[in-house]
Amino acid sequence: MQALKSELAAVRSDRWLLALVFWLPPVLSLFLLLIFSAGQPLNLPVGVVDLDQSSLSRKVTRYLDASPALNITRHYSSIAQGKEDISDADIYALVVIPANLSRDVMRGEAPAISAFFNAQYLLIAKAIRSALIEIETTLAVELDVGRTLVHTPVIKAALATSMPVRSQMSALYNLNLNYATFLVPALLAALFTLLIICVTILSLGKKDKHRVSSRPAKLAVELARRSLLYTCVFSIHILLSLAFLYGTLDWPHQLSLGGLLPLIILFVMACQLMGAFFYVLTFDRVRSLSLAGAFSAPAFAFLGVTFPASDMTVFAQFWRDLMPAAHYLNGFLNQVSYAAGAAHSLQPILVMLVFAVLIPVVVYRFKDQQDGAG
Amino acid sequence: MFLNRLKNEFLNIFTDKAVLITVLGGVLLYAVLYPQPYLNQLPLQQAIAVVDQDNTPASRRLIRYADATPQVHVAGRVGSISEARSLLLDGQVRGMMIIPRHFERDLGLSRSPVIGLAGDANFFLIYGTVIEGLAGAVMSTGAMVRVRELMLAGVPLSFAVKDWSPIHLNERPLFNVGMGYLGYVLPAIFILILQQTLLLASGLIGAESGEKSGLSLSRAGSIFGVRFVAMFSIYFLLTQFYMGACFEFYGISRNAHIVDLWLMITAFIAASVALGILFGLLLPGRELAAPLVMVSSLPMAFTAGFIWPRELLPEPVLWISQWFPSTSAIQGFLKLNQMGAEFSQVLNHWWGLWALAGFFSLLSLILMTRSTHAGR
Repeated sequence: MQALKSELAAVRSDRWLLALVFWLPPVLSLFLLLIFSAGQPLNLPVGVVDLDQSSLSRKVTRYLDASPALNITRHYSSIAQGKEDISDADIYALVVIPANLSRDVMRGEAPAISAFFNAQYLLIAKAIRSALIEIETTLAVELDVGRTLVHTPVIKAALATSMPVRSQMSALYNLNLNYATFLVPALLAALFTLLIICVTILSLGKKDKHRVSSRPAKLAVELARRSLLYTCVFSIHILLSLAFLYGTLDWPHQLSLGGLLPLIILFVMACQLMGAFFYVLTFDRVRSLSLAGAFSAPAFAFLGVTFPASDMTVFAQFWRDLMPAAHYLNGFLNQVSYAAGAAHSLQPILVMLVFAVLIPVVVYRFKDQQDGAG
Repeated sequence: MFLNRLKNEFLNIFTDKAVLITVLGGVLLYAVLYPQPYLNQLPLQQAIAVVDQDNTPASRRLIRYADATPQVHVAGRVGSISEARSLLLDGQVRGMMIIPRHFERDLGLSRSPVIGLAGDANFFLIYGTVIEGLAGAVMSTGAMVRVRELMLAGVPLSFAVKDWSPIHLNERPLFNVGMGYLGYVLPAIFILILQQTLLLASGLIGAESGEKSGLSLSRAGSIFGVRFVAMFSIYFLLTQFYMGACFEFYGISRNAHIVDLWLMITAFIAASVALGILFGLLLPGRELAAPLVMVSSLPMAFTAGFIWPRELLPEPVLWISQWFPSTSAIQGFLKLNQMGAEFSQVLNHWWGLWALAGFFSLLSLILMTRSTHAGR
């Protein structure tokens, strides 16, 4: 208790440390959440070139506009005009309905509708692509059923002829493919990694630090006492942010406090140890922060949420394993969506205990420095 | 006089270890480190489990089709859905395909059987890949049945092959044609890395400087000018390195005309350097530079529009993001260099960057000339 109080007083005397410890974490978390408030990429602007001008081509246009992912914002009379707007990013895709579409369909010549889409914005491209494929399937079945009905005047049988096999797709654990529930937990893990490492280095390097013992055991206890406040505060930050997402916003989850708490606390402590490690490398706050920044700034890329970890190179996987956030996220996803048993959650917890090997390194470096100074 | 000061400024930069770690170490390290996760470009050959409740030639053919797609490979055949589920939990497979009983019979009777496809949507890229592969295999099976039926009805093979669907979609991805991850992430993120290391370095230098306020206009102008020229020249070169050698090495397209590119780089670096100088003036101590730069990176990356469409950003987020040079710069550079836009098409971003450069410079000069007793 005493340790908490004295450290709290120290934090309160430093306006910027206070910000990093208390109010920046929730503000930044909310900002990141706000970015993805739309949930899914919807109403993406696309353009249409209708070279056919038939009732069928107008139907295609209607289908495009009716798709929740797409929004027709421009009509062009030539492809060249439309292409300029793609490279301008005014539209993300250009759908070209060929001349004689209607006639060719009637003749059974299977015409092709072309869709040019901007693949530079990969996530947007994928959303547009799946919307287009969906429309293609709907159209194909509709046209085909119309054709088959002439011979087989039973709708159900005609349907079966046009789609000999159907497939039903299930997006497990994220039923409506919501980007916020997909990205925000990982973004928060990366954000808290940065915050905790920085705060640890700042707090360890404060100039007004009192003399610490040079006996390793006592020194370790002393360091732990000084870090306790941050362990508590950041664990509470993470818990509150999750409570907001999965409680207030009612995101689907299978979480339990009992499973989550050890995971969060170990994650915070592992990050603190990383921070302490970077501090004892130089015993200079500024230089340590630069090193820590180099290590942890790309954390999000390595977490393997956007690009899967299993498809990374061996080096990238190794680098990823050095990040506490990667193991925290493994454990978190196990719990949030798979409702995995204790055995599945235990593994990431055990892995994070490995970060304890940094404790002796930190303690002995501190001792060396004390001895050197004294 | 000016040259002397400039020499001193360069000396300051190159003798300060923290600044060196950031400018040279950071920029060089990230050129190697950041692309690491994405070097494989596409996630392919995702492991899936198959629950074959039919076990007939038709169902086995579907499984072979699935295995033959580049997206998935069949890692295991299991007897029940619950077994497949536990494989998924263990992370041994990323998706599953469920072939119902009487699949072959229903196919023959034109009852259009339903194949169950499922993927782990905790990872969107994996989910998309798994579903793409499996849906492709199901579609091939359907197409084959159609072609056979059409041939039975007397349609010649060459027509049947073409005619199994009345209409087709011809997909043409533009710019990042292979839809790979390096070409998607690197051109944008490298710009952010340049801006962030620049901000950090200027923050470190500026926070150290004793002359932060209460200066005469000419003195302030000279300090500002020297710092501006020093940082500008370093980062102009580093940007060339990223957009030249690094893009070349990672196979990223460079469509922009070199003069257009220089014009854009000039505006981008000017805005970033001006923001950096302002940042240095506002910082109370140099130890705060790294934490603030680091935590701002994530919001900056995700509001720049290359990941999440800017059309969908809420108004306040949009408003805040326009103050980061990276936002206009990333859009401008992507259009010029990746999407082959003309310079006239990116003029709004270019002027936007100059407006930021002017605004941040003015603010810096005002701060430096303001007479306060707070200066140390």
